[in-house]
Amino acid sequence: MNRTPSEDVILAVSGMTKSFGALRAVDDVSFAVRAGEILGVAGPNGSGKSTLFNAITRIPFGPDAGTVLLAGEQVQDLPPHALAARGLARTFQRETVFQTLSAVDNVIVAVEQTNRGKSMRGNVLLAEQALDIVGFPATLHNWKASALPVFLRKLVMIAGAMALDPKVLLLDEPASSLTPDEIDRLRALILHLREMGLAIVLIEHVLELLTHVSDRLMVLDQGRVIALGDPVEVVRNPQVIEAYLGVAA
Amino acid sequence: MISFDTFLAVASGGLVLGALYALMAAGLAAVWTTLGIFNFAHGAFIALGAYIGWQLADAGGAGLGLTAGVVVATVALFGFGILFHLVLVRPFERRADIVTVSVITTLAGTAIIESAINLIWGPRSKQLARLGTGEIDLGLIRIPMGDLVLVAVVAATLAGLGWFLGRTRTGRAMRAVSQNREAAELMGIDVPRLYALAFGLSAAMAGLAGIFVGGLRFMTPTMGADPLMKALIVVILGGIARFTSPIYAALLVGLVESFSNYFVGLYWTPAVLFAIMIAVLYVKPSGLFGHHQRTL
Repeated sequence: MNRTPSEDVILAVSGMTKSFGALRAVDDVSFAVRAGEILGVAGPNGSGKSTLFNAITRIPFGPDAGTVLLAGEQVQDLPPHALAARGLARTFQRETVFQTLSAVDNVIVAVEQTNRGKSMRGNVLLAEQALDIVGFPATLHNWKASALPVFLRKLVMIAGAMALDPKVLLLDEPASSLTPDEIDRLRALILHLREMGLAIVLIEHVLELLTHVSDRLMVLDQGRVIALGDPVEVVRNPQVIEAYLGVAA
Repeated sequence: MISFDTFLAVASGGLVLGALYALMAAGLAAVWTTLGIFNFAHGAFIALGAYIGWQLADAGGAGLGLTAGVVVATVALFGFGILFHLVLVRPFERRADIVTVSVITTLAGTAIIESAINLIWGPRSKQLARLGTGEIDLGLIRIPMGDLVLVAVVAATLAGLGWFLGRTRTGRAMRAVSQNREAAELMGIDVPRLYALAFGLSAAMAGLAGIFVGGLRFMTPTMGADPLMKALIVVILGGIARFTSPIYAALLVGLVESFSNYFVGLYWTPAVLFAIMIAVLYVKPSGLFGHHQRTL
């Protein structure tokens, strides 16, 4: 997998730090990601992966220290909606959707925030486009989100993020609670999104998925970056093996 | 028993009360469904609206007439609601115990507003003129013009609110935020702005309600306490599944109150209302018209 992504860095995070009391959940984390590149993020439970996303997007809290450059602009002090407007989108580990709205209405809410649709008809078209991109079945557009299975709700969530026309997509454990078949479809989707030129940061517990799609892999342990580089080399790194399996068995 | 004429009079009185309660409850629900907190200062907002309206309208104040009073009170309360949210709710909104904390801060706000009214306008009770004078003959029954205007204005306000929530981008975003804050932020919605707006709209509706209450009863700094209690009963009785749920419940409470006043007496009526509310909670905990959970 020696892809050569374009050289322009879209998202550059440096010195990101977030503490809860005495616990340094994220400790001086720095990384950059380019357009058309997937940066995988791995690490044991509680290593600070989700907290890193939270601190970057300020949902629900910002970092204690650190800078975020989005397409060259300092954005670490911007509120979540302003980050979304500038092209930084994220998803959550749980399917975070509006349960009583239909799939397409969920995505329309996102489209409406961007002013791209101009009219209600335009909003609907853009929402349908976003649902198509993620491979959501057209026959289920008007189903209430609460009636959909987990995988389809996740697709609605990803479509909502895509409807913001993002440059960077932060995916927080999209494969959690999915079946092997669904994980295969998710893998294809993530690769498709990369083909579209998005910069993707992917947190994942399913290591096989992570090493397969990632161009580079970053491993966190106790809030710190312990490895960052080629996925194949990173998973062989003794420090990484120790962090995952405990002291060498 | 009761003659047909009396029945109509009592029923129309109940509908007027119901309309008033609907206005208050819809305001209360606007904050509860969006932010997930109960604003105990809603009653004080009603009082503040009444006094600002009096200041503009009454000959003892600026003497500009009741229409000016309605407009200024509603607009002023809209701004005041946003300020109230910024000072007493927003600083705590990320706390896990925000529901409890907001009980304290909004009660504190109530005390501050009521004391301020006392200091500015004094403790002597005042009264506002009613919107609309004279009576209108509807064939079977003659009703005060003021009642008709009240019901019409409330109906128009609630219809406007329904249009805003259902048909405008901001209104739909507000309904979305009420369901899931994280999803809303994910979809790029400016959540703090919508919270402030919800508080402003809620307070504006309270201000309008205050003008009506001030025309029906004597105004005192604590005049909002009883309407707040009724609005609370309405919200619990009706549930808040849809923004229309409290409206039905409000009409029901208004009618029950009116007939209970006639048959059981003024002092037993609050007990009757609470008994009905508790009975409904036994049988249908989510309220008569839907769920307690914050949905659309």
